[in-house]
Formats: sequence, structure tokens, C-alpha cells
Amino acid sequence: MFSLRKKKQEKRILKDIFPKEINLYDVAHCNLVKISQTPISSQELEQEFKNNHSIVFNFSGEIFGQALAVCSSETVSDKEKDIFQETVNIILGKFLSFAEESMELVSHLSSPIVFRGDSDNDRLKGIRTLSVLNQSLRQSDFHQFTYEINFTKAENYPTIVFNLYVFNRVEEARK
Amino acid sequence: MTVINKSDINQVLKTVVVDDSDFSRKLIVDILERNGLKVTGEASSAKEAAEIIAKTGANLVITDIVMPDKNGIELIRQFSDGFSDINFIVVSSLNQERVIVEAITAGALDFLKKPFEEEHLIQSVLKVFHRISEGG
Repeated sequence: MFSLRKKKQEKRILKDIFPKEINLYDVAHCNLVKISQTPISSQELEQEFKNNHSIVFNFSGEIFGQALAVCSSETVSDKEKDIFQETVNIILGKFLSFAEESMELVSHLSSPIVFRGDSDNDRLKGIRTLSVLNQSLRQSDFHQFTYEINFTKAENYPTIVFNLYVFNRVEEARK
Repeated sequence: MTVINKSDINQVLKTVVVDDSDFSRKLIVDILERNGLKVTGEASSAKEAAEIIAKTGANLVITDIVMPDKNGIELIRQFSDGFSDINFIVVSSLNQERVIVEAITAGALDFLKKPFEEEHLIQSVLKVFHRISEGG
């Protein structure tokens, strides 16, 4: 009974709370295009993470876990990377705010860890992050949210597609 | 309706914008400048902001919350000691009541939820201008 309730709550948190649409200051619009729970191997994730522009946010508290956003568009300009980062930040902010307001689950969001290039520092950060992600893959429920960012005509940038991988557990002590 | 002269505002306000997101920081600066308002400084962390505030004597700080090292609320606390005349506007993607109350309790004058409306940012800045002009 206890674990069933917890499980249902987790699924609701992940599937229903993530925003479906965001207007980014009339510069771009972001839409949720797909939610998937197909299992992904740590090797697949590692490959995607290493080859693309990625951002990792950690959240802790009554909901704790990690959100890894991987930009799958081939070439991304600096401005697009900035918009991508801000979009993920807004999505997670809305997610955690809704969880707290409607379900009384209090969590805190870390500042993002951004992987932009092949520098030694990025590689080191990448190794550490992947080790934590691999642990998460073994221990947590996993969800993949695919979002699209479409720019307004004035901005004239190609569509950015990104996957947001969320590993999430509700703190048992809460109930 | 009272028409406010932008040069009056620019004589009074010394504004610093603090956000680790380049996009968000530049957006706020663009909005202010498009509306004829000067920006005194920009910072991508609370630590950098503290140095710029001290150096420029800023009296308006528009800050994000989630940033590396020190967050925006800690930055407000650092400068809200009862003697400071710095006004803070918080701009954040976190918008739960607890966070808003924490920011206001720390000393923030206003709280804008990301993504915010341009008009709301300008209204918030004008509120600070009136507060300072009236000696608040």
C-alpha cells in the first residue's frame, strides 16, 4: 500500500507536471513533443552525453534526482546554447514549483553544470557526472522528455530538439 | 498619468543585473536599454555582483536565485543589513510561495517569475525609482 502510493505519486510527478509549452519571451517557443519510458542503457546515454551539448541539474529534498538535458541538434550556436540552458532551467523551475505547491514536496535545484566543449575541465566534470548518472540508472525510475524549441521568424535559427532525462525518486521519509 | 523622464530615472538608478544564464542576463539588459534605462553593470555570479555593487554604488540589483557558489537570496542577505539602500528585484524560474517569501523576507522588493513579461520588469524598476525618489 505504502509503496504503491509512492509509485503512483512518482509517476504523476514525472508525467503530468512537466510543462507542455513555454513562450520564451517571444524569442522562441518550446513544446513537449514526446514522453518515453523506454529503458536506455548507460552506454547509450554516455554516448549521447559525450557527443552533444549537455546540461546537468541536480535536485535534492523530498524529490531528489537528476535532470540531464542533451541537445541533439547537430550544430548549435552560442546563442542557441544559451536559450537551450534557460529553457531547461525554466522547465525544471516550473516542475519543482508545481510539485511543492500542489503536492507539498519541497526540493531545491542546483545551479547547472554545462558541458560545452572538449576541454580537460569538461572531460573531468563529465566523468564525475557520468558515474553519478550510471548509479541513477541502476537505482531510479527513468523518464525521457523530448522538447522542441522553435524560434520566431525574426530570430531565424533552426529548430533545437533536446531530450531531458529525469531520474527521480520521492523521499520515503516524507510519508 | 505622470510622464517620467528617462534621464531623471537614469540620474537616480544605478542598476546591476545578475544572472548566470547569458541569455537571461542579456535579455534583461536589452529590455532595460530598449526602454531608455541605463545598466551600470552585469555579473554572472553573486560573488562578481558583490564586487560590482561595492565598486559602482549600485542601488538597484536585479538578480536570479539559482547560481553557482552563492545564490541570489544569500546575495540579498549580504547587502540587506538595515543600513543598505540597495533595492533588489528577484527574477527566477522557481516560483513556489516558500521561495518568494524567503526572497521578500531577505529584503527583495519584488519577485518576477521566469518567463516574465517585459512590462512587469519595467513596472518593477519604476517602483524602485519611486521608492528612492520619495526617500524610501
